[in-house]
Amino acid sequence: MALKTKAAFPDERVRQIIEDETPRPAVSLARTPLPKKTTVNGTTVEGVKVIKTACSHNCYDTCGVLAYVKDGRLLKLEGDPDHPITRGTLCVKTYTYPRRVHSDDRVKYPLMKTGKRGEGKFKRISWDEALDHICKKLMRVREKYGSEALVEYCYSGNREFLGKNVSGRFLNLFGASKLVGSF
Amino acid sequence: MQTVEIWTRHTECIIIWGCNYSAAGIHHLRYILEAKERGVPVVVVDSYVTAVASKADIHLQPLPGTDTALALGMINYLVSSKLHDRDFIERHTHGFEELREAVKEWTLKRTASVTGVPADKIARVAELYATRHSMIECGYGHQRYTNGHQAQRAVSCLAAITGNVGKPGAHCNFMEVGAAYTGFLNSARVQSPANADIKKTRLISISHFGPALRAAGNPPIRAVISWRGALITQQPDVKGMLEAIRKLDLFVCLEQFMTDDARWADIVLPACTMFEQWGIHPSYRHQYLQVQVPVIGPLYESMPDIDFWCELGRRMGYKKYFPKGKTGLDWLKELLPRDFDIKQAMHPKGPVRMPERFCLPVPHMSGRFSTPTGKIELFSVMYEERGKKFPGEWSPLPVYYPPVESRAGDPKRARKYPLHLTSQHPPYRTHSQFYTIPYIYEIDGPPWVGMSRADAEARGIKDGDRVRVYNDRGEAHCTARVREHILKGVVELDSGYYVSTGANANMLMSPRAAGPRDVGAGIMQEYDFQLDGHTIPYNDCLVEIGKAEEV
Ligand code: SF4
Repeated sequence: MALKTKAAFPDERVRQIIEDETPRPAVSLARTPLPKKTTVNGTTVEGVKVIKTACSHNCYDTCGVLAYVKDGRLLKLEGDPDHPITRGTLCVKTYTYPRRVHSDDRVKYPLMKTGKRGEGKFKRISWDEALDHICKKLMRVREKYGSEALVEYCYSGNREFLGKNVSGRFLNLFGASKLVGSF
Repeated sequence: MQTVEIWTRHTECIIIWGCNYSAAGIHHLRYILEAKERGVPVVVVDSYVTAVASKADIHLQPLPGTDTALALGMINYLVSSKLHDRDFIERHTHGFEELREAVKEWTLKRTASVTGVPADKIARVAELYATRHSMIECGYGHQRYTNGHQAQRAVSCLAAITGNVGKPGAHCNFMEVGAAYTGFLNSARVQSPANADIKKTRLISISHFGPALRAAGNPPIRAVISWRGALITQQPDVKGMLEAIRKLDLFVCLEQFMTDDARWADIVLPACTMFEQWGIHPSYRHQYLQVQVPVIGPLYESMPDIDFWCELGRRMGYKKYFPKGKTGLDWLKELLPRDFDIKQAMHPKGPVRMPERFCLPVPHMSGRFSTPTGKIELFSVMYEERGKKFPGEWSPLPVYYPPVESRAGDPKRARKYPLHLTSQHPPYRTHSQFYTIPYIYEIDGPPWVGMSRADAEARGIKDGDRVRVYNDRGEAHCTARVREHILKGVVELDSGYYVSTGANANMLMSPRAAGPRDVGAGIMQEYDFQLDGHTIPYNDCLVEIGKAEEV
């Protein structure tokens, strides 16, 4: 069994390795031209727009994604071949994502419960009505109990960070209890 | 975290500990297999036979929650065989003598009897690991027990006493959650706008969410807005959670589908998917960034998450802080470092590597550590200090004790509920998501519980039978999968089945949190993410299983 040589990695060598193995920070890695057409279920579709984005699921590969879009529809998703780690592939979950985006089972408009909590009975309402109801309730709760009687519950359903920071601004201004930690 | 493209190229031995690359983080598996093709031995430590474990040269399959014992046993074996790296220990660690004394009780014989892993296998892996440039990649598997923090400490100590730290291919990676938490995102600038009157409020630990809802008194919690999460599905003790939800004045849920939370909400709001809104998501494990752009407009009446919060803010009287017309891109620029050229990370130019000051490709190569002693603390001064301030389990030396709810930890309970339930992440879903997508359901299928042949036979259960998994907290109904590779006495039920399917594992779990600090019901004034670090002991649960028709 080969025993480790202690000085195998002097600082200069490590720096050389980093330079060899990784590109310079903050420089675009885009190389491959984006396609203009694709095949969906065996049919060629011309005039698609391909947009680069990323996946923010909590599996944590943060894959580079190519989204194929036409007429406001997400036709299909592929991996970004220019992403140095995810190298042009996604996982089965995200390959099915267009079906999720355009699923008929989505919550399509605001709903208000009509029965008891948990009964699953709802009626359609407008955004205005929904926000009005929430605001009224929040004011009443704050008046009666104080602002810390509100707390958000937010975790990794969509793991990106912009949303959480904007909600954080609202909750800070309101004075809500602050959700911390992990699980 | 040392980056995968570097460590897999330079390592001479890989231990993957409590991490299922075949289900989560699958792109890393390719790098590991490339290393394996170079001839690098791959060891997997996991109570499950995961797909990555099935590809390993050696698979150590400890009994659930005994990872600490395994690591301590390896340390003792290496020190007594003089295979530790004395030079590295001398220069870079603190507390070696104390650790050496503490692990003496972990003879190979005792380690084998506690973990269920044969002694010669433990010795072989320890030798292989200590005599090469070796890498340990940790997941959360061994951490989701009441003794999980000590397991992670013990594994880190194993890396330190063998000098496998801070060199390309020789490090101990755990889920350090990456650049998002090292200052790359300027959260304070967005969350606490200048000139705003922001008061310090109490803190609620998410891993104690149910207990906190029930215990909060001053004031009580009366309103919850649930979004990007599933508190009914993913938090333990579903019954307790529902009891708390019934008492709320307002329960709002922003969702894409009719999840458990949505079903229980007063108001359900249509949410956008990640393809309909802006976002930014630095990875845990790699250092490349592509900004998330909305590739299509919001479908139906759905609204981007930030638009909901901004509109709520304006209506609640904070117009000044949520100007109309401020776009997702505008908000993003506020969140990113001012000198970061976002255009390079945006369609079609990206991705880019994030600035190195937020994520070093080879951390700790300098040999400096941000601890009170400036060294790797085998004896943790930080734990010792924290323990003076807060109650909890703060042993400064890694110590093994059985998980609170296990056969060794609670023999009395185990007489009634003798099977150790572990709940891993499903390969075809992200927690509770995707179950509603027909393509995925076709692969994932109806809920199942895995058990060993011996346990199945003892209960008259055959593969494919409908069974009831139960304890005094609740039950889950599913199909039995009887498999040779499952340890006797251990059963597995994937996380994330909606409660409404009747197969949710959290019906069975206790509202306990794991982690060093004991915060009672989870209501705090002060919290340290790194030190107090809570999780939910999803792998710490005793159950019994019976055929469905008999009960
Ligand atoms: S596409 Fe799949 S593997 Fe990639 S980040 Fe998303 S969930 Fe993870």
